[in-house]
Amino acid sequence: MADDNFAIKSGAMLCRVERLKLPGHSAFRIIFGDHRKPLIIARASNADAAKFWTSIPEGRQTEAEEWGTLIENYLKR
Amino acid sequence: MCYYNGVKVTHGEFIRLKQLEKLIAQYDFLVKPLEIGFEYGQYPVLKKLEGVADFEIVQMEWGFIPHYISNRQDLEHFRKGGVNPKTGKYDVPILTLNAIGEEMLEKTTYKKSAMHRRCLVLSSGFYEWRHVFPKNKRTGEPVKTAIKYPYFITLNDREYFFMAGIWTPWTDRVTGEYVESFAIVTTRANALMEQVHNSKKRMPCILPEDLAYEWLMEDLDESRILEIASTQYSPAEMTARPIAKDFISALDPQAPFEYADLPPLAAV
Repeated sequence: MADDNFAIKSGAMLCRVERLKLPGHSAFRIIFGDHRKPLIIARASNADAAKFWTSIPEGRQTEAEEWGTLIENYLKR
Repeated sequence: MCYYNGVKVTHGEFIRLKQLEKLIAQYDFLVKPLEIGFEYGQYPVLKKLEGVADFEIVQMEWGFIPHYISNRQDLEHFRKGGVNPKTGKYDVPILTLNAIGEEMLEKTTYKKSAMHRRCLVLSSGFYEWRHVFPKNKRTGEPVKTAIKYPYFITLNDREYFFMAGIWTPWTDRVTGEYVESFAIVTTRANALMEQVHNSKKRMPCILPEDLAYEWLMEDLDESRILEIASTQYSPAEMTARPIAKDFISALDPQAPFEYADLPPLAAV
């Protein structure tokens, strides 16, 4: 089991990732090394029952997919 | 079917994601360390409820958005500056993270909020940079460019505390987005913060509970607003610790860090 907090590098930028423990849900908060607003992402199911990463709240889908993949890769190590 | 973030999802999944949004909002209030950093973002703020002696805790955007800003794009330009596409001239960035307590009633941008929309910003600590000018080994004179060391400042025996704030409602005239934003009121630095934030010698206006209540809940005249806004928290009840320079992305941003070349702060 990975730690609840960990660091992921994207390019030259090191970012902090926090696992948010919520009743019945799991989500991650990414705190960026630049001045970007922190991002919260979670796994969701689309209409065909396929899993995808999404930002919570809506509006940052591209970043959610990019960082979701990075987190998945980190957790699979 | 409906859409979440542009992806087609079932009604059930849509409701689950909307519930998650609300849980995260609560989580932010209750679990997230409430350190005040250097970036625009959502922070928990106590806001008075109209007409009753009560308040609510809401999330507001740090960085007061003046009413004359039309939309997010203009706001970005206002905050970051750069060449103005309309005039071709360079606009300097304008920071509204803080409002100088002694001057806010003289500023058109802040006056109405200082009079009628005061709030309390919840915090568990805040960051400031100390500027140190080491001596040139050859000349013995202080060097011209400061070395900057970040500090994390907390209150002794207080997990959370209140900073005086002022807030304002704003609507993006292009998208219709409604935002409440705030500025932290600052005062002259006390004996501890004079040493830490030694470039500007300012500090947030940290209020003990009785003054916090008065700031938030009561109708105040200008002189009382200025009086409360000049409150300096006792330096003996504060702790300032140096932290790592890359603290923003560190796993534990508040972890104390020792610098061999950093002179200690004088006792207060």
